[in-house]
Amino acid sequence: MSTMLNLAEEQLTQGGYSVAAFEQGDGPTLLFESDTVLGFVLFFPDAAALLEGWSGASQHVLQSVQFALRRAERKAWNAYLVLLAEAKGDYGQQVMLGAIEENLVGTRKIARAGVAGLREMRAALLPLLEIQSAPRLDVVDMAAEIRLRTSELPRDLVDAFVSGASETTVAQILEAGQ
Amino acid sequence: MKLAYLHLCGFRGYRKAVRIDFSDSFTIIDGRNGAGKSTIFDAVEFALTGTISKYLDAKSGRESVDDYLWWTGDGEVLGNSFVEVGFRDKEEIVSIRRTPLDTQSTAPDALLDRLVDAEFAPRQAMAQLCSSTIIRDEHIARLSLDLKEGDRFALLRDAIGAVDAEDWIRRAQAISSTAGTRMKNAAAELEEAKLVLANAARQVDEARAALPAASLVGQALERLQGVLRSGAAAEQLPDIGRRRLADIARQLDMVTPLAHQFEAISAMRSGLAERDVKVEEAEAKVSEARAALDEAIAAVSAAPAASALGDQARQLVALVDLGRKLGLRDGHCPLCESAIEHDAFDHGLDAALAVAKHLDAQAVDQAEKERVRDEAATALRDAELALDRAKNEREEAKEAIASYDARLEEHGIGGAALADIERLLLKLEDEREAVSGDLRLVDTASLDRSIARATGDQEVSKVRLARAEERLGRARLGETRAKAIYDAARRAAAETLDQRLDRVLPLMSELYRRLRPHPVWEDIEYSVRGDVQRFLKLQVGGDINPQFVFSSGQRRATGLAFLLSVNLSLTWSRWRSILLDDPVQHVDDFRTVHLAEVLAHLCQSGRQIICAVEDSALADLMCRRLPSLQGAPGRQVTLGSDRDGAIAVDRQEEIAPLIQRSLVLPEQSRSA
Repeated sequence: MSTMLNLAEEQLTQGGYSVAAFEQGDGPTLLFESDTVLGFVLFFPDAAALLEGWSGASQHVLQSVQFALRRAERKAWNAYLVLLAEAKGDYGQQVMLGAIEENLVGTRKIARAGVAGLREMRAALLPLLEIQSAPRLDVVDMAAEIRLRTSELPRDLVDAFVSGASETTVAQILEAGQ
Repeated sequence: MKLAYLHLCGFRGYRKAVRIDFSDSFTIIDGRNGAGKSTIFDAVEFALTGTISKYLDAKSGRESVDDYLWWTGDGEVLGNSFVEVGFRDKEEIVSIRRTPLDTQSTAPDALLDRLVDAEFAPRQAMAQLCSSTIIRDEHIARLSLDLKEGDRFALLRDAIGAVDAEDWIRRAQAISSTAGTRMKNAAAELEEAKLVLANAARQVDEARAALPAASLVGQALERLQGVLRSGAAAEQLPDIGRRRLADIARQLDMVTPLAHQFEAISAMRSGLAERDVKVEEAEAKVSEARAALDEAIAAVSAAPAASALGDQARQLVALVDLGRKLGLRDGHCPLCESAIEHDAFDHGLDAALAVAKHLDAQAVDQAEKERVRDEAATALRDAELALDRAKNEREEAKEAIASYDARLEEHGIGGAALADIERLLLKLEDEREAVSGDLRLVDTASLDRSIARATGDQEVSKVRLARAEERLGRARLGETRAKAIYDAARRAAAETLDQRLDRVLPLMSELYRRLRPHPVWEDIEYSVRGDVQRFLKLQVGGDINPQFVFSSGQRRATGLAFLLSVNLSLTWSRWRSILLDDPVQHVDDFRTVHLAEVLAHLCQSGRQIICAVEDSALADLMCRRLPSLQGAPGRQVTLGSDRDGAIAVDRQEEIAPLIQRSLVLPEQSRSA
């Protein structure tokens, strides 16, 4: 679980969150907060443990930080409860995890099992992380692209085509030489 | 560029002037149905494009949305009708204003240049910018999941593809098409040249086939020289031969009638003696007639003419009749007044009557003699005419015979028999046939000319064929190169688009994962298929088309992921806003929270979010979840109506920033 904790801390930190560890009897917990949201990450060995223990553990954590939540005022509405299990669950457990997520009472919940590596951790924390794919597309230089794909043709022909010479001119060059 | 404000009056349902100021970060607008939320987005689009695209296809009777752009409700517009949209470009405000008088004008270039990178923007940049930036409730599914795969691809291509790719492809296609046409023309020209050459070769073959053997020509020459009695050279013989043929033809024309007339002339010749006898007999008849006439004349001349005698007799009878009527007058004859007796007088009258009768008899006799004389004269005339006729016929026969004989003499066959004439004709016919036949053999000059001409044509055709081959070769080369350019242009467009798609598709997948339309199918696969016609296909759970299995809420969430991806991928847009008109209809609370999270991240990354929702609680959620920061606080606008029933802003307030840290204090932060 320490791996999960480290991965979660790393991803949240990289996502711009302030992150703190919170020790409680049920196991390690991470606290995280940004300018708009705050939350908790609870770790479980497997889906079954998560399904069985998430409610009590989360209540325990929330009670522990009740003063901080009160200080947060409206921000407390943006509280996240992230429940992560390292081992993957079966289909039924996955459905039940989904039901936990769809329960919006009190907090926004992220409940995932099978979070064994970086990829799974990113996927689990995705709603909290900034947009990952931000393509910045450069301008396409079509003339250069066409040149690149016409290397077998006479240079003057390609020059005439890409330089906007008249079709008549291009047609003449097309048939010139061998 | 971000939206700064919207000011409108008399537009759609806005009877009074309303101004809404937008936050640089986010503005959440809420209001019940008909409160005027959608009109805010319509007004922005109308200001930029002069129309409202969501109604473009809608027609009812003869009406369209153009008839309802401006206030049509009860009462007058309170103020001048206008729509004004302000954009903030750093510290500068750029606005565009439209009134009912200039609805059709396009946005000023200055504004367009600030909103888009004109160098790389598509032709209908403003319309496309609006359709990608203003995401309306009714378009979310229609412009994404419900789009045909080809149209979906086109939407994405227009958003991220090379703007001028289609221009290059069209140019290359036009050149390729021209080259193809030139190739076809050259091929047709070559085929024609081949045909002409084949014809020329055939003509040469035919001319050569018509040439006789040299030995036959030599023999014909010798024969001709013999027949024509000429030692002229071979090239002169044809002319001499043709002159001889003309002479033969003329002789045949003259001799042939001689043969035909021979029998008649022979009969004429044998009838000459008989004609002499006829003349002699006619002469004898003339002599006889003349003698008879002389005799008749002599008989007539012995007495006065019959008419004179007759007159005398009639006069004497008349005198007697007169004397009898008058009778004696005083013993005197009334005719001669001589004294006479009655008896003597009567006796004298009787004697006179007898004389009168005698005279009348003489007159009858004389008249008979005169008739005989006249008949003799007629007979003489007839005999003389018969003599003349006989003489003429004899002379004509003699002349015909003489003429015939002369013509025979002329042809050197004087005194010839019919057989002689026919032999002459046969000889002429034979000679004509021989000369003609030999002439055909000997006259090779024309054949040489034909061969030379055909050979010349063949050479010209060969040259033409060679040129056509050369042209075809060049045209084929040109077509190959043109196709290579066309292929390169298409590949450049397709491959660069694929490369860009490869970079954009992860964003689409990520937004889908964030919005999580479906609890089980957490990922969506976007794939491009097709070479000529290209399609963007969406699949979940392997090969399931979400279009047909997702609920309306799930389709909407999937569509939002697609449309947001398109907006974020616009490489040529400088408009950093995303406008969403009621995006969460049919979307449950859970997925609405996901959308709020996505919008929060977009806002965090610098996008301006303007979102209209119906539910005030949802508006509150959005306002809490999206980042309202110092210096760029979010804004909530609630639309309602004033005491006159006109649309008005009920509430317009900035969202106070949240407490920065309460759970993880700076000193507790592990990263601190």
